[in-house]
Amino acid sequence: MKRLLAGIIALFSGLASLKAAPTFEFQDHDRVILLGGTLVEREQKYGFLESALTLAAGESKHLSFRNLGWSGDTVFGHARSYFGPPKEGLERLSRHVEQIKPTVLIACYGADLPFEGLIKMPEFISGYREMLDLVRAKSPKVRVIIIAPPPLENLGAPLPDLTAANKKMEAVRNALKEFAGKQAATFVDSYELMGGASKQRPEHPLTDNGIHYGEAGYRAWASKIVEGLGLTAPKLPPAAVDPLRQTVIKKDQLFFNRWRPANETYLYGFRKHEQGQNAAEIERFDPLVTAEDDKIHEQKVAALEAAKRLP
Amino acid sequence: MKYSASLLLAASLVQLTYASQPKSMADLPDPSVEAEKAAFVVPEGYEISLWAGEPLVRKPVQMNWDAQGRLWVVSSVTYPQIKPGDDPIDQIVVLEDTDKDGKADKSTVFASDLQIPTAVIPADGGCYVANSTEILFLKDTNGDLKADERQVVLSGFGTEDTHHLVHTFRHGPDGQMHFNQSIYIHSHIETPWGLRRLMGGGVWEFRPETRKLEIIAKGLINPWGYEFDRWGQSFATDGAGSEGINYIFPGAVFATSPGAKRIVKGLNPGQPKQCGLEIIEDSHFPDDWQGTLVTCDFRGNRVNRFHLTESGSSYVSKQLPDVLASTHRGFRPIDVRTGPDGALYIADWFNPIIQHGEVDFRDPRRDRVNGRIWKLTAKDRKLSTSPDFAKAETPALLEELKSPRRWNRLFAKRELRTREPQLTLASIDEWALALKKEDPNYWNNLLEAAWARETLNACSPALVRQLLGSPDHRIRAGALGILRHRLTEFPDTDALLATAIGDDNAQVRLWAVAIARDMFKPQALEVALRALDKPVDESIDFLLELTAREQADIWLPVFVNGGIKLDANPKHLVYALKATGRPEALPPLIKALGSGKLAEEDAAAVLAMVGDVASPEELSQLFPIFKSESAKTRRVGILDAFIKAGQRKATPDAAAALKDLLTALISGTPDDADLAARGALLAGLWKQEPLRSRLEEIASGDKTSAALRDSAIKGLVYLGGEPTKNYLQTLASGDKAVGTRASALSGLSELSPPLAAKLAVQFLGTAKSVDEARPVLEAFLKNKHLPVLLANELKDKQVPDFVAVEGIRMASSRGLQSLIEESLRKAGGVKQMDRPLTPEEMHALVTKVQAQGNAARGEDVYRRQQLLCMSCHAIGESGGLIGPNMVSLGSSAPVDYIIESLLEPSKKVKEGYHMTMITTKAGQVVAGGIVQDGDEVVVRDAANQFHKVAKGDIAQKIISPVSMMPPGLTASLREDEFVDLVKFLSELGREGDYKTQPNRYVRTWRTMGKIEQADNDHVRHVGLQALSDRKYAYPWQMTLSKVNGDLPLGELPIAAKMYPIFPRIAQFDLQLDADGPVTLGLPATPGLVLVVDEQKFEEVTPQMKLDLKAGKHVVTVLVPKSAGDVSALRVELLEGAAKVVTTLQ
Repeated sequence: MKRLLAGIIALFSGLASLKAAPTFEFQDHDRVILLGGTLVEREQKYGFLESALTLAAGESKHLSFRNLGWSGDTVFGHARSYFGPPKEGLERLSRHVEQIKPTVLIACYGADLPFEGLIKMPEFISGYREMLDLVRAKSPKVRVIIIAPPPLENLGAPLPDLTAANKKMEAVRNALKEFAGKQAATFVDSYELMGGASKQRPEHPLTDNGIHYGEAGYRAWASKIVEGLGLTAPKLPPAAVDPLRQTVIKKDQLFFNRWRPANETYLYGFRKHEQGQNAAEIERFDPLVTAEDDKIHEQKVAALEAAKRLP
Repeated sequence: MKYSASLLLAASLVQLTYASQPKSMADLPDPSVEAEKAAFVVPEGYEISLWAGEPLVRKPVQMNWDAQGRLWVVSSVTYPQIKPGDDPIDQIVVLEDTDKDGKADKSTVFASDLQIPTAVIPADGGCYVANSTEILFLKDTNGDLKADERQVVLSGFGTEDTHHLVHTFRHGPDGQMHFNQSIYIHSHIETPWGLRRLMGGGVWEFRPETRKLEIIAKGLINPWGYEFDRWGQSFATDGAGSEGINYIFPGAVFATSPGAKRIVKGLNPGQPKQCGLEIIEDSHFPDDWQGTLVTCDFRGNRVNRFHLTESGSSYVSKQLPDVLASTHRGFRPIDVRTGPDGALYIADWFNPIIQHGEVDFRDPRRDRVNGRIWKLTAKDRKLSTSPDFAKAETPALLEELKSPRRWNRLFAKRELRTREPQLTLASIDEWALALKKEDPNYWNNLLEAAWARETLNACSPALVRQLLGSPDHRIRAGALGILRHRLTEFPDTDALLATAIGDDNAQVRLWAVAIARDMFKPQALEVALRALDKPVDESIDFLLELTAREQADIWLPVFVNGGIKLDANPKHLVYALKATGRPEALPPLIKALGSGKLAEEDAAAVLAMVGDVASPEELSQLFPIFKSESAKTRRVGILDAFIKAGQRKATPDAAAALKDLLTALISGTPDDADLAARGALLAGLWKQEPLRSRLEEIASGDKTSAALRDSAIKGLVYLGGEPTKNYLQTLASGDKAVGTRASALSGLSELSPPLAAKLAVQFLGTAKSVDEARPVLEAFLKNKHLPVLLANELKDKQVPDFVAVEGIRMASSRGLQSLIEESLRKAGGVKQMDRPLTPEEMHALVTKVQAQGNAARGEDVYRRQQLLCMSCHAIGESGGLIGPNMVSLGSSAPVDYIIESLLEPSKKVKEGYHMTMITTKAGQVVAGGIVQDGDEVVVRDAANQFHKVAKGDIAQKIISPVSMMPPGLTASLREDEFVDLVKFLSELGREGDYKTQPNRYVRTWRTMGKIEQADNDHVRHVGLQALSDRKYAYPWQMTLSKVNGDLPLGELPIAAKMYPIFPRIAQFDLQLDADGPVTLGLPATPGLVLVVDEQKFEEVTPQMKLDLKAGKHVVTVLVPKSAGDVSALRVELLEGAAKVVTTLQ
């Protein structure tokens, strides 16, 4: 009976989402990877997005997040390629996917397109599709969330006027929305959710250079993404979330040194014959990262318990 | 300061044993400050003192001062790799001398959660720090000198190698921030101005307030030194390159930049690797130090200095005596800055291990706790004082811009940046206006005013225009450096560019090209090309070509549509179009060629491009040009372009024209053989079937020249098909001249290899001389397939022995001998020299030696290791001592005697070289030559070992009738090789090439065998002076020079991993009984490197004068791969009381 009821509720909320925001549901033991450029990479310095999604998933679900964001990356794998062509970047991504076996992929690409002068939209979309195919080849059941890049901020001189670029970002958003639909992916319009095509200098800027968020920016972006996914954030004072968020940051730091260790050239690259023996050390990060995953889960449960006790 | 080479060499002798990396924990140097201080070699008049050491600072990596005279240092104990479970704990410390006693006494940890930080610079009320993948801005908001705010300013820097991470923060004179990255780093940086990607090394510039980030130069291997001179020109040093000072100009591309089509070289090729860079501009140092560049040779534990002289658009750099040296191998100077008192502060990373590419990340010998800042002062000179910039009024700050101290000028501008902008800018303008024109520094002061405005990110176009009109070209070049960043603020950039490109000074023109490159428009290139109207040097040529090539997408379509003309000078057009290498650039070039106005070299360049890329249609446009009277001298070139195009299967469109042209070329009696030969080839390439019969006529014509005949046959081969096959078969097997038949066989080998092989064996079987056989042998040795066919056909056939021998020689030199040697040997009945000869055979052989022997080849046989000749015999002073010296053998011994001695060594034994057999009373037998025969008998055995036997111990001593030279040593030789060997021996001592000359050539060498990775790493780690370390077990071999003094380089392997010179390495020992000068005579091989003990000479001249101390010195000569096919190295002791005493042990 209880299950039936839950089913009916789910059905209704499903119908509701046809009109309003989609509802994305995390499942117990979901392994989530985050992909994108600087905006995604730098999130690990703050941990807001992971924390917010962890809490919104509810206390019964043990999630793990792996941030594979890389500054300057594209759907073609430009930043992941080290010494080789972008193709090798995608091959590297494919190996990481194979190791992590994600069940959820959150991707935010396209923020660089407005700066390319001409938007190479068709190539971008077909590249995006190929990148998703590559992930699905390793993780066939992965559920995809596509996030439209947030709008650019016009901070005024001496920083450049980004009005035109922001207009182009709107076109990127439109293309991504259509693409997500075709891919049966969940689409989060963080462009609109974060303010859209405003020309004015924001009263409280969220970026310091017009394109990259700082602390306030990530805090806001995280809560908008939760909203965009149709999830509900538990009502918790920031202080109650902070221990969890600090653990997220620590876990991300450990994982960063695991998947993108310094000295690639010697550990795995063309000078492996000289210092490749040191690569064995890198795997010792794995249990450290997993332990932090567990700690995050415990802290989440504790925080949600505390939330229930709040008036 | 006098600091002669002899002092260096004397010091280095002591250092020899310290030069290498420690081999074990027990081998670590004493890390104490005292030990390190005692090991300094300080030039006369200077002194060194410790300014800061542990615990104030540890493992300093890079440093910069702030205006208050505090030194900001980044340090890393995490390097080279963070351990799983460890927190990032690397630091920024701020060092202060609070009591002004000349030593740091306070260290404040500004930040302590960094991960391998590699640069720090205080600025904008905090500091910027390079933290692996990112550049952070850290700020202290409450005055406790601890960072409490953090902002990621830039991210996406690569970490592929932790000693290549983004590093070397410096402020330019215009207030921008600069930093470098190194070879393995790939950076992808998103900025509000777009994405910037830099693959490999390079120099960045960054303006924090606009977040604009640009690449200034690309390449370099590990450039941890960067600094600006007084006129805004900048220079870099390279911690893994070897070209000393590198002049950095916008667009420059240096070695190792991925995908570079062309590179700029450094100013001191052959320098050791250098880290850090300071330009001395402080009156604490003497006048002759001003403007000189100081950098650190961290491998060699010393600090170097260079002087630059302008040369064209670039510089000539000369190394000056060292600033500081040390015999302590833990001393690792890595950064050098002028301090608030004008003294030179040297960051000493302190580590016996310098990096992690060659030594394990967790090697226990790595030092993780020590690190020092040393201070070098001039003894009798006043220290400088620094103003209190923060307290100074703006006008007083502006007056500091006149200071001869860079410190004052830089920090005055940094302080101005913090003040109210509008008022400050007004003050700057007022100050600039009041500057006195008669002041000799007027223009420098005005340039500083412009830079002050730049530091506030507020350009004054009027000021820049004024500077552009300066009579001093350095000021004009500096002004262009500002203009580069301000193009949008000048409506008349085109006009400014036009003026600058016509400047009388080459460096100004170089900067004009740089500006044109930044303008990204076709008209700018059009103007930039005017640089070609004045002398063009390497840098200008580099940048202009780069601009034309990289921006082809921008200007080429516009040019093609007539938007720009590039017709001011035909040179411009050819230069720009050629630079693109693109097919669409060709039509205008062909048109220019047709105009007949091109200079010879330009026309040749156009024709080369035609050959490479021209389409059939474009090729046909060359017909009228070919016919025109004015292009007469270019006809051969045009035909060559046709041939080149034809070989990539591009044939001109116009069929009729083809035939006409060729018919004209090859019909009748051709009046120009060069043209006719090419015409014959083209007739085939262009498939002109109607001309076949004419080609056949030429090929078979008795009076046809060999060159024309060969071309006609090649033409027929290109025509191909059965007719050619049949024709060539007839020609080859007919009764035509041998040359014609050989040429026909050669052609046939392409069309019908099995048939050709069959006919070739017949041909070779009847060859009368080596010359006749050679072209056919040649034809069958051009790939790996044909020798096999020929070998099959040789089965059970016969060819003359000289043909077989020549074939084997030719195959050997092409690495194909395994495919054909055996067959040729059998078919030629080539004899092995393994038995005594009958008198008739002896007679025949003696005749052969005289007729066919080749002494040069014979010397090569003599030098073969397995023959052991050199192990036992010397020729003159070099070689073994067991057998007789061969120095004058040829002038004293007849040929048959030499032959007999080789085949039957025991038949005649030279007196004194009989083998003596001694049986001791204990029953041991010692056999060999008697070296000493007194109370103690010394016997040298066949393995060159000495045995001493006391006379009283000898039971029996008999002189053996048998020679110590074993029989059968020459059994492995073919007869021809034996003949050559005898010829060589018979020439020894006779007047001619094989008489040992009295010159003191170095004849005994240690040469480097195949070098192992570990040895290579060791040398790269320590520097080339590591080769002087006689304790290190390199794979040395003894090699002797040839009779003429040449050390044959072909016998030595290339050290293929010894980046970047990939040398062949040869070494000898010199012994001096007293101090004195020694002059070495060396070949004028470009890039030759000489290492004498610890001293490396990068500019090797044909006469190298060395001041050497008494004792033994190790001299190494490195012949770089870049020297190309240098076959021999000859080194002569021209003067000096020195002896060559090379030993293997």
